[in-house]
Amino acid sequence: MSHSSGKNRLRSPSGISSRWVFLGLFVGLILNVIFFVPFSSAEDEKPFDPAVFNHTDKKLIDVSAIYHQQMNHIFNDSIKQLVQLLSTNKDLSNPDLQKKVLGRISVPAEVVAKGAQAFCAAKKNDMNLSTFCLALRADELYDDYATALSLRRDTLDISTGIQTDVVADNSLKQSLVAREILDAKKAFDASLTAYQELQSAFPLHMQFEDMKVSLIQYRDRLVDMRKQIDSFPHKFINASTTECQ
Amino acid sequence: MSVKRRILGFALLLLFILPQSVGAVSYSYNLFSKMIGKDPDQYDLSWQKIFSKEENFGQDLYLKMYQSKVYAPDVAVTHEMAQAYGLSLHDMENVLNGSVTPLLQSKKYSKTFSQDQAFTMAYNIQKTFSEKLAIANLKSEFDSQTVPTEIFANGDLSDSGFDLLSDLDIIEYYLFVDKTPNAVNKTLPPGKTKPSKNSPPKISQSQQTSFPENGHSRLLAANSIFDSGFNVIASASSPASLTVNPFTQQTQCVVPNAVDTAITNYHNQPGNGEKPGNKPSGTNSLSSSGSSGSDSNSSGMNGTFSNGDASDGAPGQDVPADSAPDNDPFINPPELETTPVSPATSDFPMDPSLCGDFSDSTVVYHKEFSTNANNKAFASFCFLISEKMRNYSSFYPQKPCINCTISAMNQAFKETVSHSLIPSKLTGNIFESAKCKDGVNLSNLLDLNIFIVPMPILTPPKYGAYEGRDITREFDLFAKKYLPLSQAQKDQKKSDDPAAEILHETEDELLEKQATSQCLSYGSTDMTQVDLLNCVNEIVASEKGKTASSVSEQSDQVELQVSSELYQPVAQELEQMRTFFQIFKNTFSEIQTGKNYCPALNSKPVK
Repeated sequence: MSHSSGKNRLRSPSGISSRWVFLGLFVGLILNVIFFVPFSSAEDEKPFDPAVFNHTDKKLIDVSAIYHQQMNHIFNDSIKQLVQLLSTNKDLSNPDLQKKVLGRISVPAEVVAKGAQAFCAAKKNDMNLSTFCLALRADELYDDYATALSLRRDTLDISTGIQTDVVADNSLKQSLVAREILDAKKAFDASLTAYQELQSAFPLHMQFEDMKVSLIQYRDRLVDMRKQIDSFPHKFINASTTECQ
Repeated sequence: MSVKRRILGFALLLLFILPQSVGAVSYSYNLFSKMIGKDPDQYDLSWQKIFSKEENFGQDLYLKMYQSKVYAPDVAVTHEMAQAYGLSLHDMENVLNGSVTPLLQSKKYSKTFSQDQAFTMAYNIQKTFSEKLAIANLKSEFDSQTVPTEIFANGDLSDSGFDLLSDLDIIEYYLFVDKTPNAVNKTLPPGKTKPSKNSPPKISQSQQTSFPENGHSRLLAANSIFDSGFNVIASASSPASLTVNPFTQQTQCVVPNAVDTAITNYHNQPGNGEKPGNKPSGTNSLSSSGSSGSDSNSSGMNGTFSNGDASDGAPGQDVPADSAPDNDPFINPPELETTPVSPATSDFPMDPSLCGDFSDSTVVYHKEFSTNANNKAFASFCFLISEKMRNYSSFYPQKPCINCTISAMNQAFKETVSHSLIPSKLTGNIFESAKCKDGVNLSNLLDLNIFIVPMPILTPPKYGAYEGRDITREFDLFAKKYLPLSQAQKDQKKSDDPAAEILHETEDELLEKQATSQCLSYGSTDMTQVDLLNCVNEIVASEKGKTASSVSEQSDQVELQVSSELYQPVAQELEQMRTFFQIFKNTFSEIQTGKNYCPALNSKPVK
């Protein structure tokens, strides 16, 4: 400890050793990172790499699970933004709002003509939510997946890791891979159709919900007024007057 | 048994006992488990869950569609069979593939099953599976064609979380209570889908019972005092109730036993002019259609409260109502003095105990009635005072619906306004209505009606993008805007080159000509035929792509516009009417308090 108290030791004006100052700064930096730097959101995560479909250490069931989870993620993102868009812009008779909503759920012709890959790319808050763009985003993933499975159909491990008595023959492997590609397409297609339905029906549903609330208020005010009228006599006698012209 | 047969039998046994490889069903089940990270049996992926929470609305829609379209039906049927037979999914799949090993190794069956029984059971399982799978496949096929396109408009909340037809059902309930049965699909009753927290309170039948019986009782009692020479006790209390004798159509007062006992006690009192034991005969003694007391010379009334002597009249005998309409106490009640005679001036004993069981809650009045100088009548009344509170209204909304309330209001206003005010006072102006004009105006404003205009539910574009519109006008707009070669160019071409109109060139031909012209104008001079063809094809494809996209965009725009056109007028109308109701309520309130509106009305006599 004697050498540490030598004259070369740096001291702060208040007399605290520089070692403690640096330690404090370091701890503060760590705490700042922990408490003040927001956790990365799903959108901030690094983009999904379809190369994972070709990893040889991945079994068929692993690759398939990753693919379907990623597809679910793509749909979830679009649905979340779509619901938010339609919920916050209910008054579609307003031309500005209509234009705003329409701009998010349709694709301009010139964009399609030039190629809509960039236009339809996934974005954090304001990506295009048309079924066309969602299909484009998801189709890219599906193509990568189907291609990878087709290329690896002879080498893929089809064991599930759960069953103990798996003895895969080549024909079963081919069958499972073919079935999985077909199943993925069926799920993709059905989900797109449901998304399209949601896009059409949800605005109407929101309006119907508003109408229900309006009708309840309408009914209650009608009853209130009716109660007020109840306090009047049923018939007035000699009630003619010029005072209430 | 020959060696060959033994070998064949062993080979067959090996074939069925050898472990089977993983099957498609097991794979699907395990994949789905891995996908959702849980056991599918314990994971709630219902539509209600997907669309229940606002913050997660619609999340996991893809997984749900995967479950609906892929995971079922063979996985579901196999899983169902496995559970039914107490086997694992994998074992059941092996059994379905022809192996009996799972059955022979199963703890449930191995002790009791012979090999033959195992084969028989496996056969039965396969047969049952085939039947169930055929049904499940059929259902899946139907579902795949209909569910995705009608999922939010099929009247079924269980498959989507929200449903437009169910929304309309609820709206119909708010308007009319009675809901027309949905022809599209079975729906939940409105009361279950959307319990109305804000419904007006329902008035029970007992609460709506009219209350004039007290008044009638009083009349009966009052009439009874003219029983000459006798003091009677009558009940003017509420326990009495009116009934109608089905044979004579006479109104009778049914008196509770306690009142009857009090009357008997009174008659048993010494000096009350009643012989002990000669008491009124209970309820019959109260049967009344008695004469009015206007005839002071009558020796006795055929009234209810006679002394019990049949010779005095006919106690308890019903008199036809039409025989003496002027004597009907309900029509011509006798004029009674209402000021009680003080006990000091009355020679009539005032004893609260006369009211028997009603002593604690009654007020005893002794009355002296003079019909003329020579004839006096006395009566004691036991009044049982009870208070029954209820709100009076000419209308009680039994059903919490808008149409019911409006109909009742229209009827009430019609009755009120139909009452002529002219005979009492005239305004002084010729042909001017004597009615209060504010009242007339109000009644006119409240002449409300509800018009229901059936409109189609919006459907996807494949059913027609221009539903509900003028198809001719829309097509004209469409042609002008979105055909590959615009209408303006066509019109220009027609004017420049009449021959083109004669040729009736198709859109494709015109487009190709335009593209060719464009390629030749802007292309290089060394362009080959192939280059030219490619250039033309590229332009044609691009224009067609634009057209397809424009049609899609137009379709979306039309849907939004039609949706708004449906909703906005209704929403504005509802808002306007709510404001009106509030204004009416305030106006009526101020009329009542005489603040601003028609204060003179507040002091007018009413009926």
